[in-house]
Amino acid sequence: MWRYLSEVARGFWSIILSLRITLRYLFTRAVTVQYPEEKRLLPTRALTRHVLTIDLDSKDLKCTACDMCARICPVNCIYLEGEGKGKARRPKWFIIDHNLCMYCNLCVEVCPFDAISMYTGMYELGGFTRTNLVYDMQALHAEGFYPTIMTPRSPAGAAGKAPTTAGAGKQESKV
Amino acid sequence: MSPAVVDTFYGLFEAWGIPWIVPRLIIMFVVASIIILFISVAAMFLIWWERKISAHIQVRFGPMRVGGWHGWAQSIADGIKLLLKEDIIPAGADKPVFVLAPMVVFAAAFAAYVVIPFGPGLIVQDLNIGILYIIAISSLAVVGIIMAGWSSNNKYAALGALRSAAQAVSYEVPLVVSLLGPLLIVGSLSMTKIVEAQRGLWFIAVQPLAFLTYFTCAVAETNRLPFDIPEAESELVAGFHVEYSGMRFAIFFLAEYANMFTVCAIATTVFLGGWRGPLLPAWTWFLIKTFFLLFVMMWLRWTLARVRVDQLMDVAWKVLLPLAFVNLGFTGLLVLFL
Repeated sequence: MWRYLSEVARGFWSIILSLRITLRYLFTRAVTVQYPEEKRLLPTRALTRHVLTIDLDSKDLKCTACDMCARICPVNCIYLEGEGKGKARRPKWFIIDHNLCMYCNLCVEVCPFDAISMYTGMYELGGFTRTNLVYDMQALHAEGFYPTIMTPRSPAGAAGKAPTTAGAGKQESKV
Repeated sequence: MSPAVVDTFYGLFEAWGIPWIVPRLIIMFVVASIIILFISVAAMFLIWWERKISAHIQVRFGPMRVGGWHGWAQSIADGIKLLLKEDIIPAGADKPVFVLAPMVVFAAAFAAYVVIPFGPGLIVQDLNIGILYIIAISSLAVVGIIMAGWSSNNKYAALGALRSAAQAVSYEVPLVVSLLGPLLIVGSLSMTKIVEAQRGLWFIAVQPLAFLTYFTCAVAETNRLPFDIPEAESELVAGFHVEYSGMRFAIFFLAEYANMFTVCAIATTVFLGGWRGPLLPAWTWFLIKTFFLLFVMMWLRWTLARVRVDQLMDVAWKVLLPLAFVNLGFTGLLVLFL
């Protein structure tokens, strides 16, 4: 008899305890991020859409159409053709097919001039056709990104220059 | 409705020489419409509220889009969607019974509203057997559930219906016995008299054990989560309404929430002093207390896990029924000798 009563009381008490826990959760702030209205802060090195960076002084593309990125790309999503000789060599056309891109960042790491970057914070790439995700040269440098300090390995000179802060600031505002 | 208005209404029709049955039917129709409206609005609010509570207990937001402020129009949108859906009756189903079942379930839930006292005078018909009437009429829902389960021609539906019948029959007993304690003190079955008797002291203070057993049984009677084995999603898909869709499913849903409101309204009337309370108007107090109990039901739902069938029967026959009988015996002795 006593055991029966104590079991009933213990069961009742355990319900009260669990009710207390759920009540506490009821009044904690929800972790949900209401996406279109509010956005989560991206990690600083989140890999997002490519850009072709531009030089701060000449306002020209840094890319020299050396074809390194296109060759290292494991999924062959970069197509480009250069024109000109020596230091004046620039890409004639440059296309990145983001349908194929697997965000491995190899193109950025291999680039000797810090001319391509994935630290842009542009991740809303939805489109209604597949061609919406194929970016040509104009789309790739329209935002005017400078080379950033985020780029892991950059040639001397490029990393030392001032525009780094401008690029970083731009990046955070995109987030 | 106040008697003066009703008398004028009857007098008007008598002057025109129309038999008394006509104004009577009109009044019945109006009152029934008001109650159906109340049930629908309350059920829609409860569904939205439950989704909000469940979401916040799980640290998320729940419906946020429809209607602007915290998705308040979500239930309305869902209702419209269910109304517009195709009305499917399975090929193997027993058609007339299948069609009738949700109506029986809803009618049982609906009829109980006749004796719920929302305030002094705010009661459709103050029957002198109020509580007995509610208990009798709410048992009818089981018939509808068995009809639904059997006519669906589906093993899950049939299992759910049988479980529901077993559960309802088992929990009806401690439910009634726990209600007998307060009734012994009042000496009347009328809902208004029960509230009147709680002037000063609510019966929850006098009969805490009866309140706890009643509330547990009420949760079981409405097939809600710690006791929701008739629908047990993980075992029976959806139990007795697995074959129902569109508006027929919506009616089951409506009846479930209407039943929740009924059992909480009875608990408020019998144990929490009904419409009594300071400052605010009587019906506000009644709704506040009822909705608090409904909140507790939802809170329990999102706290406790489902019990097994044998545990369910254990709780009913080995715990709740003895406790209810002990309470009844003590109350009887006290009433007899004090």
